[in-house]
Amino acid sequence: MIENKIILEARGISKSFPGVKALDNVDLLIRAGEVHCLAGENGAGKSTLIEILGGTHQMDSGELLLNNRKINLQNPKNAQELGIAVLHQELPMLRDLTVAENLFLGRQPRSRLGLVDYRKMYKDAKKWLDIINADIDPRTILGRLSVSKQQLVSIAKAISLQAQIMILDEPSAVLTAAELTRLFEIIASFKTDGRGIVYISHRLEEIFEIGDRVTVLRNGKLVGSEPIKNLNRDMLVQMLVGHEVSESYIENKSVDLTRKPVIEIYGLNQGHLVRNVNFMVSAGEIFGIYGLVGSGRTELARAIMGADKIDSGHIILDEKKVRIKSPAEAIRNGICLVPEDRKSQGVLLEKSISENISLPSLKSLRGKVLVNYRKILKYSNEYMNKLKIAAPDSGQTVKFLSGGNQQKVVLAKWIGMNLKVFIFDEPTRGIDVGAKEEIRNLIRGLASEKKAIILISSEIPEILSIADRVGVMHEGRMVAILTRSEATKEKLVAYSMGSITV
Amino acid sequence: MNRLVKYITRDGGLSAILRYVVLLILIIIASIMAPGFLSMQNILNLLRSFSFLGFISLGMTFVILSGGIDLSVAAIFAFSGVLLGLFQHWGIYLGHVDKLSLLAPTPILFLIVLAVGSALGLINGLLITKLRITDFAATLGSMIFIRGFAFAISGGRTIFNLDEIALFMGRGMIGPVPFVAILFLVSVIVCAIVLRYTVFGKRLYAAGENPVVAKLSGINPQKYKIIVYTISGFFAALAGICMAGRLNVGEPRVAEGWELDAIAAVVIGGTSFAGGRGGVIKTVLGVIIIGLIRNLLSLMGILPDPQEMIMGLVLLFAVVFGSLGTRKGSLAHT
Repeated sequence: MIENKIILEARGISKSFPGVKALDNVDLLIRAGEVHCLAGENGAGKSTLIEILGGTHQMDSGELLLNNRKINLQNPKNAQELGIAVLHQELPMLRDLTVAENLFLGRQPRSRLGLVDYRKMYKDAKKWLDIINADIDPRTILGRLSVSKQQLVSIAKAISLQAQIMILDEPSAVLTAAELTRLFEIIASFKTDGRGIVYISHRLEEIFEIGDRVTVLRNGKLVGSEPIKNLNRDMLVQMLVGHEVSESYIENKSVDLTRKPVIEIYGLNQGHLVRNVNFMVSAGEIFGIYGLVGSGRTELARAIMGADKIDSGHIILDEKKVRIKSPAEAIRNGICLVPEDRKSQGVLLEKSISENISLPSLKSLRGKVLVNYRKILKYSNEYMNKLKIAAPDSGQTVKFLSGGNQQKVVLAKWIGMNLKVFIFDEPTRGIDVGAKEEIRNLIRGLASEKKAIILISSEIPEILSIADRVGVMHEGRMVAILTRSEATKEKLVAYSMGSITV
Repeated sequence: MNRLVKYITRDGGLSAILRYVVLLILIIIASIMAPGFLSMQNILNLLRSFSFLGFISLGMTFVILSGGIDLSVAAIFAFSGVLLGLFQHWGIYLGHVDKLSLLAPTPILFLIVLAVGSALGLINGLLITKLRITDFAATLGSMIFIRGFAFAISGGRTIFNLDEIALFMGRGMIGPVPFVAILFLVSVIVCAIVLRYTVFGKRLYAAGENPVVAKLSGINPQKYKIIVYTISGFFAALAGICMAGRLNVGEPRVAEGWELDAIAAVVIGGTSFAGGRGGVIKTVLGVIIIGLIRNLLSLMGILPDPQEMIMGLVLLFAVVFGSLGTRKGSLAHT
């Protein structure tokens, strides 16, 4: 088979953000009439790479050649003019404008007077929408459309740019099966037009169905770039997770799975990201939840916590059915959440350590009527010392603490309250290595005190090192629950990408 | 000494000190311009005249601590005075106008008016939380509606003459001290204790600074929103009753624009518009600064309307200097 003409060549692309090397000497070849899949775990560098190709970020080193000519992308408009269109996961569109206005944003057709020619704009919009068979009235306000219809609008927009390279960032995440079939037809027609397509997906099936070639990134480095026909599923998973096959991160700790469950979740549904989830956690057990970004992990935690109203399903605590309609009720029932983003959800940055630690326990820290500051101080100092929060005193404002210490403050809020279930959402994200290990030890300590722990993490080594069982989420479903001995890195990755046959 | 240094250098310490310096300068200027300024008699008089704005500023402090803003306070103020006037001239509807005819004993009328004011505040809170209207828009709407309502029920007329008990609220003296000033100081103390030493107060600060954190910590921020607007309505009604007693009229045009003075007093005092920082003692400072400046400008012979020019500049200064000493300025939104 003759190799198609190369449209875009990226050579030795490197990009660093403060503290992370997001891309390290990555090459990418995009050929005319080829669907090039980009794959990798969370944080592998896929997003950074397409943001560089789309002109949103500038690379630190490396070069881009478009049709063998060196190009310099300064901003997204540059890229658009050169014929590179990116369809982002989060649609950068204006919800309060009409479909047509969004399609032609910044390039509205003008009449001779220099005013926007609405009639032509609506007519052209209709034309592009018809091409992709989208049954959408261009006069509709974008925000009134479903998310998948909005995605179709952005696909129409990309086509209307008549770009020679189309980069699709996980378009399937929000599309229905029928719309996805239609999208694949459109992609096929792009191929015959000789355009280059970059397709990013978290679903292995799709990569095999539509891809001609796959490039795998891991930790910002290029793992390999292979024609799809040379690969099978296992080989791809192997490329994705690397060759450190099934290291045993697990220290031996016998878990008695016949123990009574503390919390049981049955048929939980909330929005479109928590679908029929079932699991249970017993006393002293650490139940890990792994899943890619957008798989519904955080939504699951919020649903259990009563922060978002659940559509159906029930929660059983200590063999009693409970109805949890607010976080306050969850806490009363003995459940707490250490949320994903501690700065915006976990701590009051402008308040002191003791104000933060005592916040959920104020009622027990008062005399007959008034709050007793001596009790507050004693209580918060006790847990500040217990968790070894590094600060001169508990009057220190929390915004001046390091990330690890802030996370300990969030944990200290709950530890003194005699709760039964602790949910941790990415507890070690963005904190330094030493503090990470400290937080993990605190979690292990809670488990040894017979607490039921739900640990959400996107770091596989973290999950494998401290979880007793692991539930894997994919598109809102808990697709697998693995015991410690069954769980391997390969399996977690494969399940999280929706591949059942491992 | 060490503690003083710590106080000044802490976050926001500088701007707090600045406010006291401004107050001191104002007092010095005033006592030079008007020799009797520092006499006990004048101080007690000033205390009375500050109290009316003081009441609505107290309520406003709760609202601003929760991250909201209440534009309807001056309208509730006026509406409450009119309502009291009408209740004491119930005969208006029977044709004899200027004779007192009480609907019920005056203390019960007070309670009714306070309940109506609180209910109006409660409605503000419900509009904001249940219908998800922004604080500004909801209270702007109710401000216009309530002021219009005050005109409607009074037919646009001033209702003259109230009874002795009502007059006592605005004019009464306990020994040498005006009753309204005592009422105000008691209110300040109660509010300060509620904010600092009750679970409610401490949770209000949390809900005001970050409703998401508060919610996940088991606090219902919406409940607190509703309560603070109710408190604000209560104090507006109390101010309205006292002012009606002071002027001996129920007057729908009273306190026009006072909602802005109350907001200015809270902000000049140093309570953060972003919510969760500040307190009523600060607000008292703001009320005194505003009151003194108006008093001084009047002493200089500047008419009330051009005074606004100076007031505007003072407010801007307060905001700018407020944000110099803190990382998050008084007006900064997160």
